[in-house]
Amino acid sequence: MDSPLLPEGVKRCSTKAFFLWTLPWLGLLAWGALSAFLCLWKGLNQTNMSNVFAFALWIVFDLAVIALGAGAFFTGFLTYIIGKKELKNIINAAVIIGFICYSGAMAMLGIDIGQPIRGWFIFWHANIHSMLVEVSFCITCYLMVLAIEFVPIILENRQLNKVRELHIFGHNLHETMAVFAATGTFLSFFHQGSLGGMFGVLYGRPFAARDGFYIWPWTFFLFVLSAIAAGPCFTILCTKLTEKLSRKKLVPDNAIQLLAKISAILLSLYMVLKIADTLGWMYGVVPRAGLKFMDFFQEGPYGVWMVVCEIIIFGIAPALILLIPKARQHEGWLITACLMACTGIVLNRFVFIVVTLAIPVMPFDRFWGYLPTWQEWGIAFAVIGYGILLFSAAYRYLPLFPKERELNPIT
Amino acid sequence: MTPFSFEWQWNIEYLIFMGLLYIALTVIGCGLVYVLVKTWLDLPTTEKPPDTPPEISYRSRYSDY
Repeated sequence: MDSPLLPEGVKRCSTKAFFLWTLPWLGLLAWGALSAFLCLWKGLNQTNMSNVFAFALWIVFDLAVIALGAGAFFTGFLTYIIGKKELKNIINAAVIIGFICYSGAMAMLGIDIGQPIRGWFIFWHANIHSMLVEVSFCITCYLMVLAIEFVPIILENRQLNKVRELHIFGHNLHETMAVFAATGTFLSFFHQGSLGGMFGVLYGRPFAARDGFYIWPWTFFLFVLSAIAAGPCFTILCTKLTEKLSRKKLVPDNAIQLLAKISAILLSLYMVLKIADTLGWMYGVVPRAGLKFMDFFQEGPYGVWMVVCEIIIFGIAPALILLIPKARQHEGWLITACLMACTGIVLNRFVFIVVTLAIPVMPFDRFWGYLPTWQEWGIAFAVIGYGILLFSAAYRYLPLFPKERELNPIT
Repeated sequence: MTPFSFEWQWNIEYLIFMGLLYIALTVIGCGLVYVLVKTWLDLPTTEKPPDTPPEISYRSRYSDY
């Protein structure tokens, strides 16, 4: 039925099979729509957020998807600015993953602010000393950049490409992509950093507070580094998942291996700096606040095991696997390492957001627990549903992987 | 916020913070305008796709009549 829209020379499943594949994700979207409606109609009392947990599940999801979506800007930087031509075979997928992550995060923030109708206040009545304002500016501008980077991929659709004007427009956009990639790199660097910096300057909460350089706490640099290390891992994971589901080889090994190698180096550097930062915090910030390291892990479910998981299991271990050429060339190990690296980054964002708020600060404070409501889960899962739907539609109707036809000739 | 807003203050912090935002927006805007103008200029110079029917010769001479 939709065969005229499919890319030429490649094989896709039937329309019926594709429709059945979309059903569970449409279900997630429906759950999210109902949750969003309730939150907008009745207010944020539909959530378990409070004056203590002003940042909760949605912000964990936001920060996690923004870090995982960093593959778009970093792959764009490597492809268009550094000139790594091999990555042209994976850049389309990276851009779409980035677009999904950032648009999903923005949609979730639209519900999180409670009154989306006043969302423009942050731009017009900006508090220029707020790191969150900087983040808002940068992610809004970067979403524009990602949309511009997405347009030429859409225009490569078989039918749209026949329209001469659109074909030339898409070609010219491709030609100037380096300008947009450079702008995206600048914007991403600052918002990834400011998301980390925001926690580092919480001097009233010694669990998150950090020393730093000039106005930037060390978390500023660690968040940038962790995002550019984990972003390409997430791009590799999504590509490998698409390959498994479609039972095809979609990207040449040299592109995947190059991304994995760069990720390995960055993840190793991140782990060295993260360990140094943790030691500096343990022997600097914590004693100065009149506390001991173990004071933070006295109550609740968040124990030292989280530090061990974040640094050793989901940090050092994937970095080592990706550093060893033979290990990263083995598909199973590559996928495991990428999955572990992504888990580590999500765990890092969770610790900085939820654990920071849960741990008591003053002697008369108590440990605060938080469990999301079904409405909060609904909106978070809707972002996953939206992402899978958009990526599936992009794979079906657009030449997402330029080498697909070459790697899978139809006999 | 613009320099015409009542909250605006003429100091280095505002100039850097808002200046960088407007530079980023200007680069994005100029990039898009450049692509649109280039597309407009390229339209008459690029060849038409081969599947368009060949023009009937006498139609090209209508202006001579």
